Amino acid sequence: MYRYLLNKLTQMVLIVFVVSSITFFVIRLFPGDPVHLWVGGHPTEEQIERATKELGLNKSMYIQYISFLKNLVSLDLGVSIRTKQPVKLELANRFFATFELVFFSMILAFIIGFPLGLLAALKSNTLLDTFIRGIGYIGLAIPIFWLGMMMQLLFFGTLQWFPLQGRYAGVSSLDAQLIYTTGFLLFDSLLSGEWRLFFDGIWHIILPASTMAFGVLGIILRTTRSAMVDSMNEPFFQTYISYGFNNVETIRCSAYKNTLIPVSTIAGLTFGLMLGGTFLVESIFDWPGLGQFSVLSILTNDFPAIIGVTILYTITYVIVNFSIDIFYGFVDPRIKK
Amino acid sequence: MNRPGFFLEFIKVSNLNVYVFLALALGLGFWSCSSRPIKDKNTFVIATYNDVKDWDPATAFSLEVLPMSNMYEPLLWFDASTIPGKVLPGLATSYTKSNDGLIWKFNLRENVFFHDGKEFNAKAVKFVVERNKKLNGGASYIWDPVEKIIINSSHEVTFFLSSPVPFDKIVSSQYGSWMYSPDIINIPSDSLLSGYGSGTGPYQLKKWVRNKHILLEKFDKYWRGWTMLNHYNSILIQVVSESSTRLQMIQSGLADYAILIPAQLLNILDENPDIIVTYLDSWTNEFYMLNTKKPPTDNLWFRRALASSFDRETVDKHIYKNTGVRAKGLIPQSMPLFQEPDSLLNFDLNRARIYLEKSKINTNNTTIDFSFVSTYEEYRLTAFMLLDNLRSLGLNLELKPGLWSTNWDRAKNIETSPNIISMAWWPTVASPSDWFFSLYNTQTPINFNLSHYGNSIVDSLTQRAWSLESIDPEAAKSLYKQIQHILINDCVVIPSVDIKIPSVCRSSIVGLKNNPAYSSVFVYDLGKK
Repeated sequence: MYRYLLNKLTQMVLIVFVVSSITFFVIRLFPGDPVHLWVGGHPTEEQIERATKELGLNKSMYIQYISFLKNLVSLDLGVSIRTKQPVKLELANRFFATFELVFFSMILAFIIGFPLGLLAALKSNTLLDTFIRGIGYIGLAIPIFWLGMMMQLLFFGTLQWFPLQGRYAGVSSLDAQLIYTTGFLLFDSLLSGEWRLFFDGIWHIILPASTMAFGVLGIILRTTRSAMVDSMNEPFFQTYISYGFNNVETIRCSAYKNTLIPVSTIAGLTFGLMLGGTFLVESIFDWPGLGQFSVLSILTNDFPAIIGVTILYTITYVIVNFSIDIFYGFVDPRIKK
Repeated sequence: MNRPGFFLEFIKVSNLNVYVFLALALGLGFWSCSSRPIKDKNTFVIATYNDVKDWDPATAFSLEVLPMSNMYEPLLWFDASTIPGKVLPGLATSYTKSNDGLIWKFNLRENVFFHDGKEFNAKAVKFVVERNKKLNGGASYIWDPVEKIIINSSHEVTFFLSSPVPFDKIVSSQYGSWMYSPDIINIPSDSLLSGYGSGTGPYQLKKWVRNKHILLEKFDKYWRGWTMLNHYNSILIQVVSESSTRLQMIQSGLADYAILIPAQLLNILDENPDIIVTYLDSWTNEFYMLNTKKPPTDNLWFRRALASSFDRETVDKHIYKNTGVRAKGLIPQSMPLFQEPDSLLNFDLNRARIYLEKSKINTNNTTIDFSFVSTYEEYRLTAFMLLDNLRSLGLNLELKPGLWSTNWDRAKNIETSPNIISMAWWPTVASPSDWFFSLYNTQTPINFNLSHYGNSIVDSLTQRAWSLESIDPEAAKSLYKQIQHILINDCVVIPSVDIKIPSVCRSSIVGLKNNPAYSSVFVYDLGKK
């Protein structure tokens, strides 16, 4: 087990090194001048020259790369050219917001998608099955920005059930003396007993998370259904039936476990996909996360931020998939051996 | 086998009762505990699209003007609500200048305090100007002509300049002229990064939540007092990047004022009696620079053919509608010292053909490239208009949409520069010279002179006009007109529109006044109905 962990850790470091090095060189091929961002609207020639030196862009690519690697080892990601804030601080502020949103969306998608997928398998090739699969197709087909705006118009504009935007109401954030321990608003507010902020956070996350969850619901639903249908054709399932168990009992006792491996694989991949694809939802719901920050950094050629975001995404993606590898061990005893 | 109905099966499979319990518990929780989005009537909420980058008033050079104009004050204000505009007292009650425009003496307001409790006086003024010059960031170059500052008394200060310039306009600039507490030197750089403010203005910084909001609260010791109007007690500047969300905020009453709502969304607000949309004059104009060094636009007659193919009327009426007015010159018509040039090259395709013949350029093999800002719909539509008109002349226009930073970077280098590039400009100081110095004066290397134009007469006339602004404004005005004539004659640029800014606010607000000299809202002057 230790060897396995060490192996995975080495792989992770290698992946981060390769990805960050590729990113370092690729973004320098982009057209555009990051200096202009640093100096603001109407800079003088002297200010541009000074900023070029400050950002180290007057040095050769080789020297810039060495200096980048040195800083990376000491976990110094530099200062964002666009926001003028340390990249580490920007990432720390935003990462937890995005992670919380994606995590909540995944839970929603899983809570709804998994049982619906099982039900579709139970009722395969019936009208109900077609209906459930239809829901999945709609989730995959509807553009996320349109769905988000419709959610806002309906649940904020018309029904006034949920708030329009943000991670919490301005008033809550100003009143609450929240002690940040993990960076996750819901978790921290729960720990510090800030119930008002906790429920306010949930109230705010429901619309953006539902929008995101609807997009991946189809993937989870269809994977679950397909895995379950396969299981139902396995000899062990027929054995249960011949012993007098019905389909539901067989699924609850044993067969659902067979769907967990493909569903968790898909969940891991989807998690990564969602993590990198939050931009539209974050923009519409004004969620202060990484998605907006990443896209704006790319658009403005803010290279320290682009590298920081890439490294963070890489690490998260690797860790999530590593966790799923470990989860396989719990679900499937053959893997544990 | 006894098979239950599918609903029962679903309950069994998914443990729906657990879900129902959880949903009820959560529902009950957030209906009882969550705070409804009820807006405090004493807080003026502004929905804007981006956050503050730089909290140092010396170097802030962007959207910071919105909070800073409510937190800080300059020595003088420039009131551009009427043409030709006038200078009003700020932290200086009066000023005098020498006949040669080189010595400016300011009498400072007494009993004025910074938010940190320190008194505003001549020492503070000297400190601010010297620190700004030393930092040399943002718009600090506006202080370059200052050679020496003498403190005459605690509330009187004299500036000695190296050349005659309209110093009253410099000290009223919206960037780099804010007076701040000298205690800034004791503030650690980390604190400056996490939000700082110590001006003399009506509101002081209470809290900044990065990328979320800025909360300003009224400064009780503000020298103008709080008795004149039904003032707002605080200002909440909310950063909301998506324009449709900002629109919903103002529609629902969550915001009192929304910034940068796209023109196509404004129609929705036309019939809403709770919202007032007004289109305010600004000092921003948009134009297209023609490359004078790259073939075929290095040919004067060819450039004139292009300018004659540009249909300003269509651009104004059908593309910009209410958000722009047809340009009458090379600088916005609401700008002080603007005088309309005798003529611009107007849209006339027949004349364009004549110019094209005179240029002796073979149209069959000629392609010109046009670089414009892709994120701006109006530029895209204008590009298509020009493409269509040039096609009728037999010319190919290659469209090159891109981000401004990319376009600018490429346009600076003659090897990669396009023949035509879209641009917008607004001044740092209230003077037409800002356009001429930055865009049309000879530059090596190129910075914003993206037509790569060089003309020593234009250079010297600009310098003369700028110097004359403080001594003989009428003479300066006629010189600016003369410069425009030269540039029109040399066909360096195609003027397009002067921009109008849509102001979207709740109808319950009184006292909103437009001042193009500052891209901001002065909340102290506003009241509630």
